[in-house]
Amino acid sequence: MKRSSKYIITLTEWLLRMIFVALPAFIMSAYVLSNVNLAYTGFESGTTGQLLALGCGVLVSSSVAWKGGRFTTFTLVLMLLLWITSAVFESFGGEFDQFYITARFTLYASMFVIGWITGFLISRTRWYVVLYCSLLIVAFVIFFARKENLDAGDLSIYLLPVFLYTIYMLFFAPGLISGENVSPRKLSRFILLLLIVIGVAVAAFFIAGRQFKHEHEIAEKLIEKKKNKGKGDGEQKEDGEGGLGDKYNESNGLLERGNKPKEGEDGKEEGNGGGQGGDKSSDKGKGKGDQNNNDGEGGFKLKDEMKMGEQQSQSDVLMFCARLDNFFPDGSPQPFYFVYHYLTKYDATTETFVRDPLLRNIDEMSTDPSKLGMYKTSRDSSILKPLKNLKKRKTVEADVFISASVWKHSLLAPATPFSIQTIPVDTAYKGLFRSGYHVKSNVSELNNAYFVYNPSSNPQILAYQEERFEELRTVKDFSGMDSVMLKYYTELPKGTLFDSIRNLTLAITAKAKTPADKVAAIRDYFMQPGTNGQPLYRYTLDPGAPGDPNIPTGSMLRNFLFKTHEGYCTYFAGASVLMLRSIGIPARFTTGFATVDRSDKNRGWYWFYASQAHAWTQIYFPEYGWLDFDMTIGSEELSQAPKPDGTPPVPPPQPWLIVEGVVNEEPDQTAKSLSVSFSKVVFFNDEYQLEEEQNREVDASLCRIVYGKKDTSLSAIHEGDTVFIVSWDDLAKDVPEPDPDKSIDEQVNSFNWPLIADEIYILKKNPEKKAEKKEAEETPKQEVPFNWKKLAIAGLIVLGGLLLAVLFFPLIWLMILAGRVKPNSDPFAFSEAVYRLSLYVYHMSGTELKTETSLEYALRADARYNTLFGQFVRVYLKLKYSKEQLTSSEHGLITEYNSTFRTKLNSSLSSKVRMFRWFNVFRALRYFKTPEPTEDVAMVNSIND
Amino acid sequence: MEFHTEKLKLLTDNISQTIRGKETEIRYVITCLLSRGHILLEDNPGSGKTMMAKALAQSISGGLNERSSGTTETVAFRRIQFTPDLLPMDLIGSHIFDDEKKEFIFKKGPLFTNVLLADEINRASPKVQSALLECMAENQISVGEKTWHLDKFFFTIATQNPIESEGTYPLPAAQLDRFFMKISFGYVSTETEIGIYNDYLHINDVRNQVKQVLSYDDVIRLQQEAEQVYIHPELVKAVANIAQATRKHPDITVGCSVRGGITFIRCLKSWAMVNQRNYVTEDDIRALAHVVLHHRMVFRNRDGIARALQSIVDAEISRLSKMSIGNK
Repeated sequence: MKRSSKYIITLTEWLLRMIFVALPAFIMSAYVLSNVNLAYTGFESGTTGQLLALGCGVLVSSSVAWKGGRFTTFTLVLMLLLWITSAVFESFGGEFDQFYITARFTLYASMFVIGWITGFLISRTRWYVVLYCSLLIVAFVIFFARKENLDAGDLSIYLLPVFLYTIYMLFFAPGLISGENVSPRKLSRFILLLLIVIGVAVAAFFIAGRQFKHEHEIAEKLIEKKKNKGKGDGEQKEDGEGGLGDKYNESNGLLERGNKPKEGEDGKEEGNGGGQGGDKSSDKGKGKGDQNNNDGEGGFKLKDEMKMGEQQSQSDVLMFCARLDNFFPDGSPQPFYFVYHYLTKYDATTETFVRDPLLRNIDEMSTDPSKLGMYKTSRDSSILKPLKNLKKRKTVEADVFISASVWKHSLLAPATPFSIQTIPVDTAYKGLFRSGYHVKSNVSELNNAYFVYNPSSNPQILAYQEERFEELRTVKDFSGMDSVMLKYYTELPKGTLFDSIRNLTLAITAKAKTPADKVAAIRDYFMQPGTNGQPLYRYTLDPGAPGDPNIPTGSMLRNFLFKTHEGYCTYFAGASVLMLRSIGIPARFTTGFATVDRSDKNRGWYWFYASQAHAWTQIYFPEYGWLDFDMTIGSEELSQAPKPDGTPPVPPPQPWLIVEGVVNEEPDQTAKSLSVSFSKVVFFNDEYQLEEEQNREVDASLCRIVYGKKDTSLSAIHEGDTVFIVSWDDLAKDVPEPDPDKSIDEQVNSFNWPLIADEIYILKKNPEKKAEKKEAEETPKQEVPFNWKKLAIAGLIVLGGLLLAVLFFPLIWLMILAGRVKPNSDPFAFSEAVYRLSLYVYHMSGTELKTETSLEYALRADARYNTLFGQFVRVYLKLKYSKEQLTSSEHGLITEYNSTFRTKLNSSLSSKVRMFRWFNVFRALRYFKTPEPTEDVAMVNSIND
Repeated sequence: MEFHTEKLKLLTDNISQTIRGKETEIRYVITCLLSRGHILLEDNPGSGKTMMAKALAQSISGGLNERSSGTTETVAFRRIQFTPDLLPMDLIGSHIFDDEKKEFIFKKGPLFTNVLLADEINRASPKVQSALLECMAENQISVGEKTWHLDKFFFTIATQNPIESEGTYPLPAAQLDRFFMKISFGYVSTETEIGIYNDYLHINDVRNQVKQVLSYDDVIRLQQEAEQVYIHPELVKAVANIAQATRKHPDITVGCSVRGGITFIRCLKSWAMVNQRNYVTEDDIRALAHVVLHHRMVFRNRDGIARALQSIVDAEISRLSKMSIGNK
């Protein structure tokens, strides 16, 4: 460590450092921290507190550093302090929730330490800038890699601040820090520079904003529409516009309140069950794990499975099974396709269909079932809103059991679910199914699978489907549709491909009048026979396209439509979406599973294997909503699954009552009973909020008690715990029927108490955990897996940009300096500008100003470049230090020097050397640095040695 | 301004004829002369210190000699060899009894001169040293009840052996402060030395025939003109900064006094004039800082002796050479 006296600075300097170095550093840290907090739920404990700890660290350490304190000593003291405090916390034990306290303490302590180190670095090294900025960038790139869809807008929004900060710190701040005497003049110039940087930042944002204006406009409008509909609930209630709205609104309110304990549970699960989960997945083998990790990729994943379908051994992998509570009047099952994702946007850059990165959850429910606590219900009434006035709608319920072997948690349902409740998997089936949930969807009756199937091989189906087309022919055009939505779903990029698709479609649909006819014409087009008696289009899993991605690109679709006529479901779906859009019919690409009813034994149960993963087309008909159309011809794989339907899991007992409440007093261990106060119940799958808080006894003698994910005993329940009590609907109990005439409070009062519990879930609630209200529109915190490719891209972009900015900085500075040289201004200003420019040019050419006077420097430079610099400096010094006027010859000298010195200089250096020197950023940085006093003893005239 | 340029050139050239390869040192000496100061030369014997003093004195006509004898002579030049047994009265003079007038009359010592060469000043006892230094500072001598003023043109060139030599009384820092400059004569370059050996006869001749290029009045006028040299406020500030920095520097025990600062500014002005400018520049600070300031300070360690002042001046020079002064 160097002499500490070197670091002692005045109060003013300290203040300046605080304002211009520490404050920006703190702001950047805050920016990163808030983003990290958004991205990682584990941190979720109040950004403000963390920032406070961070800020304290910065302030304390830079104050200590200012007084000349030594880093090592003080850090040791700090560590000792931390150790003592954590020891004290640990000794608290029973009084507080120890885990909570220590975890929180660790978090704040690390924040403080980070701040501490930052503060010291600020005070001690100039190179901290590089370190700190690279840390920031690394943090952001990692944060980025978690994002599903990376676009330039994201880049500009997230990286630009870091980027500008880096440039600011690299080029502007060091000059300020190093200057020992900060004159007001220097300060004002610095502030001017700062303002320029801020201006550039604002301009950059503005430009970036304009670039993506188009997409954002649509996105914002659609989001706004969604919002307004959500908000409209309340207004419509006043209008009395139907009870449906009221009901959803109520349930939505309940949901919001119900969120609090759910979050608590989530945290616990992560804390306790994390290790367990990891073990499980690693047991399943790596290849499968990788597939699971692609969860966020939307339709891509499904297609992955389809590709694997080519290999017989893999195609029979069970993905999930579902019981669909929907039957024809004659009792035969009425299946629906199961939707996974809607790929609404045609991305012109990648030429594929993607989920709209800006409207990720459009018409989709953002809930992740794996994140939902057991028996928890999540509803999204905004999904129902646009469906309210549609015809032929009904609500269909389904139980979905996700296969344990391959499939992770995904939300699959007939159409989009508006409500999801997690249900347990019976213990006997735990090996087969990972998890289960109960979904409710509002589906169109016109969407049942028999209406959807491609009728290529079956004239019976063709005739049946004619019914639907007949119905749909009432729709004459799309004038009733919202214009923004229509535009969004019919938008196509420009290009020859799309022109030829449009021409083709217009030819096909020339005779059709209504949209339904056009759709039918397109469907028939794919089925029509070709020239030599063979069908024109052929289904094949191996279309022979190079690269063969999951979602075919535009050029592949060109091949498909105009050349080979071979492809699998995504080709048909993709081509038909483009064709429909080209003639102004709103359509979207849908991924999911085709449903096939193969079982007579278990009515309503459907089994979904990997080979059933499918892609089809959805078309919007006003008054009917989105309708499914399967354009894929003759795919035998879909109807002939490698395995017949299996034995369905025993449906878990239906709970008739679920109570969520707080344990009043310590449970009675001998009588196996506990007292619970609650105001929220789920009675036959409907959630209710009681008007009065109830206080009831619960009989826990025969029940299973679950904490986290493990079974435990009654002794684990303590006073103040939040619990979730489930009672099953079985004959042994006297289960009351729901009575719509009575209020829920009355009904609850009439139940037989004490309640016989079958399952109790402990949601240990943190005593200090504050309820954080979440807005419905808030971006959902999705666990997005690490994507190394994106990480690399983001990293490269950042590095490239930084490199460019850094490399070109010397030249930009040269232009700024050269721009200041104005030969017609007064001699002093002119020669001053020339002098500055010369200093910089000679510096960058390899002759750096050391601790020498202007004249000494000039003579040294002259010895190398012979540019009249010495004579110029003599004149300059005269202007600078004397009161005399210049003679005309001296004037001439300045002008001559100014016009010739750069040419002379350049001629004395080879262009290669010059280029190397001009791109040497470190050299440019040195220009802004005050040179260290020379150690050259030879310059000292006499030493009494 | 033609006047000083011409005269100083004459003077410099004149002295250079006898002292070869010492242009800078000659300028230092002249600078001290123009600043009405005194100079301390430190070096081993035989490096031309005495010749320097003599040549200077011989180049100037008039002065005390002229007034006392009425002839056109060079200015009065005295040389005192300091020895350990030298007494103050050997310098100042003493009262001796006049037999005819029956009273004590003051017999002026060698100090009453224009150019004084005090050889090997550090060999004399401190008593003698302080007697000399008082004269240098006050330009007057108090003997008994009477105060004798020295001539307006009183210029001391003191020489000193390097401190390590035996039998010396090193000058205390407070006394060194009285000297405007302390320079080291040093040896000349090999080429110059060979030249001197070849020409020593000729040089001896020249020495005896040094022309008188300046008059006593010229010197007084030059001294007055030197005061008129313009020094930019920013340079004054730089001097102040340097002086203050020496007081704060951890390796310096005793920094530069205010008198040192004043001396520095006076020297800067004269130096600028010697270099044919009528304004001071940062180069002047660089050139003079060491010779004017270094001997005034007490350093804590060897490192300080070598680098402390250098680094202070470097910092200030860096500031100046990068600074823009919008004075127009």
